[in-house]
Formats: sequence, C-alpha cells, structure tokens
Amino acid sequence: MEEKEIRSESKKKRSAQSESGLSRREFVKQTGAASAFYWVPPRVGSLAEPTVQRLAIVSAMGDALIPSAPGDPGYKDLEAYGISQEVLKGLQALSDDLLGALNRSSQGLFDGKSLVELEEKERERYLKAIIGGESFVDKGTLLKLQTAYKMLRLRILTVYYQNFPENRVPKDARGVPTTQDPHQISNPNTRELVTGWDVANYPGPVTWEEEERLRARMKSIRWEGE
Amino acid sequence: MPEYESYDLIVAGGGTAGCLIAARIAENGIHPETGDRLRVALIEGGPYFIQGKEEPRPGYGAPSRRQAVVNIKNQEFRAEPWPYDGHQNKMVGGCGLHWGGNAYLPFIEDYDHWRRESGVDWSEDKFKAAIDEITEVYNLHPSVLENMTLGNNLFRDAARVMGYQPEPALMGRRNCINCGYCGSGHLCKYDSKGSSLYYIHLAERNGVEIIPDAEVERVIIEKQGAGAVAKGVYYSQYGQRREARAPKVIVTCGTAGTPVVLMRSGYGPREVLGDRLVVENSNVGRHLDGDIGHSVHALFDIDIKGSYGGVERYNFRVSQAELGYHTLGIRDSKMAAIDEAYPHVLALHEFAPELGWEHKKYMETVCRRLGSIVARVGAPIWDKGVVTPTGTHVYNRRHPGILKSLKEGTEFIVELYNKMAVRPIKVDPIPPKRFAIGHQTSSCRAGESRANSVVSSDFESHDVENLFVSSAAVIPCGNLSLAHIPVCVVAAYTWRRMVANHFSRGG
Repeated sequence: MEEKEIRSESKKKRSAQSESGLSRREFVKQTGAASAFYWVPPRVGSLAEPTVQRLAIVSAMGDALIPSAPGDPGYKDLEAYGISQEVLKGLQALSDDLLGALNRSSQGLFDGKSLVELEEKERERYLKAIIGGESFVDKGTLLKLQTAYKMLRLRILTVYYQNFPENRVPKDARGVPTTQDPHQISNPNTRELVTGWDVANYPGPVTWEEEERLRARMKSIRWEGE
Repeated sequence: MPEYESYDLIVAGGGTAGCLIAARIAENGIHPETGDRLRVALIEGGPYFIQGKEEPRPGYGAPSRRQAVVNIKNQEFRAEPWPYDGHQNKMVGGCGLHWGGNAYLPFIEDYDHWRRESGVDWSEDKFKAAIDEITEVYNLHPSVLENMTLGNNLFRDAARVMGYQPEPALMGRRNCINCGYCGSGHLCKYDSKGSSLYYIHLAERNGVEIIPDAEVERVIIEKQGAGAVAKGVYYSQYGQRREARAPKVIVTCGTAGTPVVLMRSGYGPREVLGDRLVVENSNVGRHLDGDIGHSVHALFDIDIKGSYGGVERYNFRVSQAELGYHTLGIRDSKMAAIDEAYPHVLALHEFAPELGWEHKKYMETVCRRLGSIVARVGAPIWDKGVVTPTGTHVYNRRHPGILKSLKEGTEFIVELYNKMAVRPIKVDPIPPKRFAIGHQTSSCRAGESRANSVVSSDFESHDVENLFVSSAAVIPCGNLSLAHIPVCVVAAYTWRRMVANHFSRGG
C-alpha cells in the first residue's frame, strides 16, 4: 500500500473518532479525566498540580492552535496518547493564577462562557482579542492573558510539531540509539498515527528504499571531483 | 615500574586536527634516534562511537555508525555536551562529523591576512602539499549543478542581475545521496561528508592508541632552569586520574578547549592565573576570532526546494574593504536544504500565522517554501574576544563596525530577493542588534613572537619546550571562514612540519 493511502486510512480512523458524537465540552472533560493516568508529577516547583482544569485548558488551547476536522487530524487526536500531559510537563512556570485568568476572562465577552466552554469560532475570536488587546481595558489583566497565551502557544506548537508521540529514538545508557532494523534507519515517525511531521509533510530521515533510489540517481550524475 | 604509560608523542584532543595529526605522524614519522616507528597516544574527552574497524563506505555508511550517527541533530545525539562555548561534538573525530560539507580552502587573501595579524610565515606555496592532501581526502569539488533547486537558481540569477558572478560553492563530500540532512548540526550516517573518519582509520592502522572518554586535565610542565619543558599529561578516565608521559606533547583541543587546557596547566596570562602561574604568556585565550553571520529569511508561495532538497550552494563576495580584511560574503544557505526547517521551528517562525486553520495551512507547505540567504563577515576588523579559564567566550556582541557590515549585508540580501524572478511573499528585513561569532578561531594563535602569539609558525610553543599547539586555536579568521577546511589544511601542514623537525632521522 502506498504511503499516502496508508495515511489516508489513518486519517479516516481519526475522523471516525472525532465524529463519535461527543461535544467539545464532553470531550475535554473526558480527556481530562482519562488523562490523569498519564500524568507524571513535576520534579520541581510547587505549582502545576495536575488538575483536571489545567489539562482541560491546555487541551482547549491545543485544539485552538492546531484544530481538527473530519479527515484532517490535529492536536486533539493525540489526546489519547497524553499530549496535554506532555505539554504540561514543560509549563511548570505557568501558574494556576495565569491559567485561570486565561480561562475565565472570556466570560465577559461570551455570555459567561469560560475558554474551555467556547465553540471553535468563539475561541478563535477570544484568543485574537487577547493578541490584539483592544477589547481589554485593564492592561494588567491583558498582560497576564498575553503571557499565558504566549507560553501555551510556544509549548503546544513545540510539542506537537516535534512529532509527539513519535519523537523518541530508543537509546542506551550512553545515548546511542538502539534501533533494531538492519539498516538502522532510526526514523521514529510511523504510518500508524498522523502526527505533527505528517501534518507538516516533513519526511524525516529517508527509508532504505528511498536511499537506494537516491543512490541510483546520484550514480547517474558525473561531476568534477568524484 | 612507573605508574604511567610512555609514548613518543601525546596528542591531547581527538577532534579533526588531533585525528589528522596523530594518524599522519604515526604513518610517516620515525624515532629520530632509533628509526623505530613511533608510539602515539590520542587522548579524547568524548566517546569513540566508530570503533569496530569497519572501513568507511561513503554513500552507504557502516552499520555501527548508521546506528550511532542517525539523522537527528548532534545536540540530541551526543552522550555528553561539550563543556565550553561553541558547538563542537565531544567525541573521537570531533565536529568534522557534523558539518554540512561546505569547504572553503584558504584564499590568497587569507594568507596575507594571517601574516598581517600575527606575523606567521605561512603562504599558499608552503601549504601546497597540505592543500593537495585535504583536497583529495575530503574530495573537494564544486556544488553539483544537477542538484541545484529552484531556490538556488533564483539566487544565482538575481545575483547576476545585480552584476555579480556567484559560483557553485566548494563541497567536501563523496558519494553523497543528497538526502537533504546535512548542515545545521546533522551528522552523516552515510559517511559521505568529508570528515576525520579517514584519519581515524589511518590512525588505527598505524598503531595509534586511541584513548576515549579521557578528559585531559593538564599538560605536565616542569620548570627547567630559566625555561620550562612539557613532559606529558594528566587525564581522567572513568573516574580515575591517569598520567601519560612523552617527549613531545601537542594540544589539539580546538578554539575553546586549547586555552582551557593550557591555563589549567599553569600556562597563560599572569593576571588570570595568579599564583597558579607556571609559565607566562599573555596571548593564551586572547585574540578570539570568528566569522559573524546574519540570515535573512524569506517565505515564497511556491516550493523552492524540491522533493528533498540538498545542501548545494552558490556564493560570492560582495566587498573587501582592504586586502584580506572585512569581507562580506553572500551565500544561499537555505535555499535548498530542508535540514533546518524543522516543523517545530517553523511553527513558531515570525512568518507563521498565530493560530487555527490559517496556521495549520501554513504548516502543510512551509518546509519547502521558507528560504534564507546569509551575509557573513569574514576576517573582521574588531576588538577580538577572550576565552576564560572555564571556556566561556567573552566579546563585544554589539561592535558597531560589525553591526554596520551586517546591516549592509541585510540590505543587500533584501535587494537580491527583490530582483528574483519569483519574489518572496515575505522577507524579514531587520538587521541584527547584536551578534554571535561562529566558527571560532585564534585563541592560541601562531605568530612571530611571544609578544603577539603562543606558538611559532611551526606550532612550537614560544615558552615551553616540547609543547605544540595546532587546531582552530592557532589560525586567525579567514575571509569566508567556515573554519573546518582551513583547520584541516593547517593540521596537514602541522604534521609535515613536526615530522620534518622532530620525527625524522636527525630531526
């Protein structure tokens, strides 16, 4: 099966999941509840307790930054693999105060709805209002919101487009990769899951077949020095 | 029985220069009195990933290295980070294994520049045999036209419109498959990029004892009458302190590591070492130099890189203020390769939309739409920097002369983009407000006397008998810099001088 067909199949599976009838709120709640299993307590810092609310806010932000649609997987399709927990691991400096402000400040603009309760279009309008800043009179609050937004954006886009959860090459104690295939290709990206690299059409290290094709091409070229 | 190993030569530092010098001296040198083969030790602080006696197989790579040298960045690969400023790999073979294949042999102007900087007697004529060696071993050749991308050709044609003649950049690769993962810290698992691999195997074949994971603590320098003499080194390996002795010691720890080792040995500026001073030389750790570059990014609305792209490049020099000084070089650094275009970097790029579907749409194609052209100031005229005893680089990152050159370079590149047949939809025209030097050199430079340098034109310490230095630390910055090939050439010259002067009959 061609790679594109496999990815298409994979995308269909993802789409089926997203069309399972769950509302966004229910999804966020369920993800938050289920995600507690994946949580690894932070080693330092007293903030960043793994509350369901923190996970829900991160999850909503992930969906806003990298949205999904049927046949077009995005951030929320990796919730089952613990992406929001992974994002939170790098957000220990983001206090509950800032995160809570980001969640609550939408209430004045959207009929009392917090960030995690907003529909997709509302959420986008809310975040763009924070970026633009015009809708907020209190500059102190605006600064808090913009800080929280920037920290979340940096972390979420980094984790997602670093190919989570297929971003790890197994290594031994010396840090030497320990891939087992005979050609040591060591590309961690699989065809099983649509990840950030797939969304970005980023190939990663080439396959053995592609290597052979490239070698055949280069052998047909003669140039000075070879 | 002495509690140390004895050798004829200790090479402290197993990077590019160290591997090359150790291998060639073991191959060509003899004991000056007995005529016997030399016993050479190569001591390196990092691991030895490529042992196993597998012969290099450019284009395919050997299994052990394909496993160790994956196509991820060296920062993710290396077992232990380089402890000092700079980006070298701490491993046997050094940074020669990660560079992008760009090769700049020294220009005629570089020799003039070097002579003017420190009074070395180096010339192209003297270096000819060394250049021939490096040209052959590294398989230096112009970038391959068949691999040029649309981005490369847009750059070339726009430069011609502006009256310049860009040339395919010189590359050091063999049987390269053009996989596209080459520069920006990527190691080559195909053994295609020119590297010290050849010399590591040559060293093994000629009996060099390679001692990995062994940090050289200091050179043993003993006072002898009014002078001083090097006797060996102390190093630590796997938690144990060890001693090795030899009548000749050469330190090849690069720009950052060499002054650190020398200062730990009590050799350096009095005001820095205080009561730890054994031998004074105020030039140890001084004159830190390097090239200074600024990349101007552009976003196109079409694919400029092809399916995988590669690392072929054009380049040309725009200006040269005075013979050998302050060159502004322009290079289409990222108009082909996708190696630097990591999705997580591009997702946060200033050209990226903020969020949502617009951002996601941008992400689908940006890998192949983002290009960059770099302006590089070579052989700069400025107040050079310092390497501290802990390996930190200290210099003026806001030097006005450098910033002025980078501003001129940025404006030139913006104009170049505007002259392209397909113009980018976004260009970042802002010149930098501060800068960092790259391809650092010159921290223990060679020169005519101890008043302005640490070693002679033949790499012998001005102050400590039997002590030598050769690596990027001894050469001033070049005109187009990217110091790797100049380092190789200087190392190939070093072993010739050392064999002629010390390791031949009556030498």
